[in-house]
Amino acid sequence: MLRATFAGFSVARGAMSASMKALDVTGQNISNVYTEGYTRQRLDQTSFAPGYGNYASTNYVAQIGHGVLVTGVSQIRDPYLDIQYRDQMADVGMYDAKASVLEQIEGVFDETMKSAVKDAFSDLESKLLDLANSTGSELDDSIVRSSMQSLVNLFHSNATSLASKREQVTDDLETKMIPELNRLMKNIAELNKTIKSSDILGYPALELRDQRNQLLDDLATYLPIEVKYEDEKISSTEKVENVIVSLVMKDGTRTELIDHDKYGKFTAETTNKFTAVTLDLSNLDPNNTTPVDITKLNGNNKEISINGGTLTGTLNMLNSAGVFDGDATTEKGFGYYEQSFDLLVDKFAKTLNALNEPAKDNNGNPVGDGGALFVTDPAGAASFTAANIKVNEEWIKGNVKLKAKIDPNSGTTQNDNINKMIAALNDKQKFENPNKAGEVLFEGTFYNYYVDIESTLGIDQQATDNLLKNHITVATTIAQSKDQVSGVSLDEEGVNLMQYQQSYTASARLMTTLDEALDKLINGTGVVGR
Amino acid sequence: MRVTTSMMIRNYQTNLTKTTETKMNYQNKVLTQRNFTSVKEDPSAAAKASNLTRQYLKNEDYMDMAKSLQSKLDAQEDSVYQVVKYAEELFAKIGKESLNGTNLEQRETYANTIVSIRDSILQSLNAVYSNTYVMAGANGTEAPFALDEATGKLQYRGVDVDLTGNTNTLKDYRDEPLYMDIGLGLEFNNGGTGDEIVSSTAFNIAFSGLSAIWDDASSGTGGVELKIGVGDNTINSTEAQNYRNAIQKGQGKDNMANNLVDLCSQLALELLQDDDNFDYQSCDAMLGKLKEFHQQADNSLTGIGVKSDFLEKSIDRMESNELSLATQLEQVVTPDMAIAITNYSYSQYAYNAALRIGVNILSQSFIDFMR
Repeated sequence: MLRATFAGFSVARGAMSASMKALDVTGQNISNVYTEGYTRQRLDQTSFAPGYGNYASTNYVAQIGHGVLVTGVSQIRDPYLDIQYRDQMADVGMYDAKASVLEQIEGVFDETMKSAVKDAFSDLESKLLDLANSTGSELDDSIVRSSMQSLVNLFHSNATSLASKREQVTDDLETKMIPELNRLMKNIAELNKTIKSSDILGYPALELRDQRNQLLDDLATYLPIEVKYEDEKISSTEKVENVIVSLVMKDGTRTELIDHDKYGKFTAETTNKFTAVTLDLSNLDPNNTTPVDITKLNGNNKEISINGGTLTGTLNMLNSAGVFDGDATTEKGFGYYEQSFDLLVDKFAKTLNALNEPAKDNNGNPVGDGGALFVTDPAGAASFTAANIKVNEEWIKGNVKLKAKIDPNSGTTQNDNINKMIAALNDKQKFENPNKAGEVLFEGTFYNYYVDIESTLGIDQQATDNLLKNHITVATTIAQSKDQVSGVSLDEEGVNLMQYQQSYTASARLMTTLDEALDKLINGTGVVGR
Repeated sequence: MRVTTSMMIRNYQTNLTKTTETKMNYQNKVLTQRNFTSVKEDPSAAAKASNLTRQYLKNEDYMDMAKSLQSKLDAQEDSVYQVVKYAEELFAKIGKESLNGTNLEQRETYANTIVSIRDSILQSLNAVYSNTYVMAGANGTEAPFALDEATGKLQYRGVDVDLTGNTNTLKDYRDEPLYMDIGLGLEFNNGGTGDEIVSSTAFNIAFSGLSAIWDDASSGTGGVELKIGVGDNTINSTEAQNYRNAIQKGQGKDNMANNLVDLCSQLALELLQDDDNFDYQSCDAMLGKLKEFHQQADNSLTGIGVKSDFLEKSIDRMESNELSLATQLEQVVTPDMAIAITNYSYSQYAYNAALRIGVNILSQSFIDFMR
């Protein structure tokens, strides 16, 4: 087969063009070396050799390729690492949310560096001892009252602080997290649409894919998701990529969140402290008008239907009360600490009120000092809580007095009832689960129950922090692996720069060599006799 | 392994954060001089520290209480000591002198002195410490002893002491305890549900003057009035006559008052009898009874001494507890400063090294060496 005279020029031109494109890709990689989410690009090129296997060819003709062919620019990415990374980020998100809420609760209950409820219990006992040693003194009665008032103020302070932190977390969920989730889903769907359009036009839209991957990574910290890439035929020969993002439910089933340019919408609504989250899928399927209930707050079953991500972590903290939910939940959220503290306050107030009940004469009429030390505000509540307890105003006015002696006829300085109160502060009380009859949650003094609440929180925080650290370590390792595959190495790109520059120079040299050779043929041959 | 620039940076950032966090933790330990500043850092040590702190504060309260009770016991001891001294003076000196060859005029002088000592005993029995009558048992806000103006007889909390019909009431008054919690494990009977304190679990500070001056087994004078020097505080012959009318000569030795105060009145009234009616034997018997009361008061004094000794030992025990609890608390809460500072210095060194490495990692690549 004869070779075209100027074929070499197109080989050299192609090579120069390919080298220049490769330099452009290298430039793009170097430019984005620090760009978050950027995936290393590579120029795809193949050696070009048309015309092989012609029936007219002979075995004695050497077949030479026609240079290099640039087939496209592609990303170097491992989808399996993406799946692993997103799975880990869901766990990181969940434990991070939990750790963050627990840290807020820590601010209320942890008394390692502050003097509050524990010291107030100690002070109360101290004041009761003083009173026992000087019963009959009007002044000492008021000192005990002041001490109890301080304790009640601290109960209120903790209750208010806890309520405010719960409100803050609820507000964050409703006004930041849910809108952010919806924004992410909308943006991913919009990117899907744009990428599809680019694919149809033959533009690979690599940077848009990077953006989408980045958004999917972000979404994965909020929710446990599964990402599937499906080919969609747009003609008999052409197909484009379609992305389907599904929510992984706790029971293993999948609920579609995003399908191409259609996406679901999360809604949060808080009623009576509990936040319900639903997922509206009518945009994906107009026939599906019943939103998916993520939180299932009906009855005692407060177990949310997903497991992973910041949304799960936050909802667990807002809606779960551990043992106070019966067997429904295991997570100790706001509810656990609120109800534990209320249980302590209720037991404390009722115990002291019972001890201060006036003695009765034979006709059942009250005699001697006594009366309720604590009342609820508003009055008449069946149980005391940290928020509703208050020192009885009648005690402050002097109409109710601390009952110093059990028998009103005993000596004026008799203190046996004060001693009963002191003993009650040191006795082991049984703190029973108000929502599960007969279940004793803790047996010990009031002081020790507070320490138990504090310790439970500390242990939960420690465990959560450790799990969070573990998941961050694994996620970092996977991110390293992703960087290993998709990251830009300046060393490599530097070598590439030299390599492609040399390649370009060599191609140009080929061009001049061919030029010289043809010059000889065109201008230097057949000159005999000129 | 393919090493990329972003991978190196991520790795560096992760490790630098860890090094910074470690440095901050050690720095906090040195600055706060605490092993932990929140429960989550060491929940078991924090719980232990809470319990130790509680025990330490309770121990402090018990010490304050015990010291305060010690002062009360001192006041009780002082008063009973006075009573003992007066009783001794009565039987050993004045009483004997008054019987040795005296005439009515001389006996009148001794009777006056005895009445005066009786009133002093009464004052001692009503001694006040810190707004509380120290010999009033569990009824410390009211003066326990008084002489009835009509009969001249001793009353305890308004009850005539010399009447046998009142014995059970007086015993109840005398024996009513006043317990104080000094860390002996305060406990009520019936597993905490009863109304009586288990006596071994608290300290009984109640002391009734009756213990020192009342013979609960004696039937007393049988209701004889013993009015002398009461009310207008003058002694007159009518009082002596009334006594003689109520009690026949010689009956005195069989009908002696059952308490020290009334016995003083009875002895004075006997001394005021004229020479014909003066009953030496009755007076002598009364002196014998005075000696018994002196012994009884002295025994009470010893009893207070035993309690005081117990308190003293309890305070010693609490002081030793305080030291032990403070040591335990320090072991749990306070770090070994030598180790803490060494750890901090090492973490600072590691942090500096990490920063230095960072300068090299972030500035160099193959591109820096290209021509």
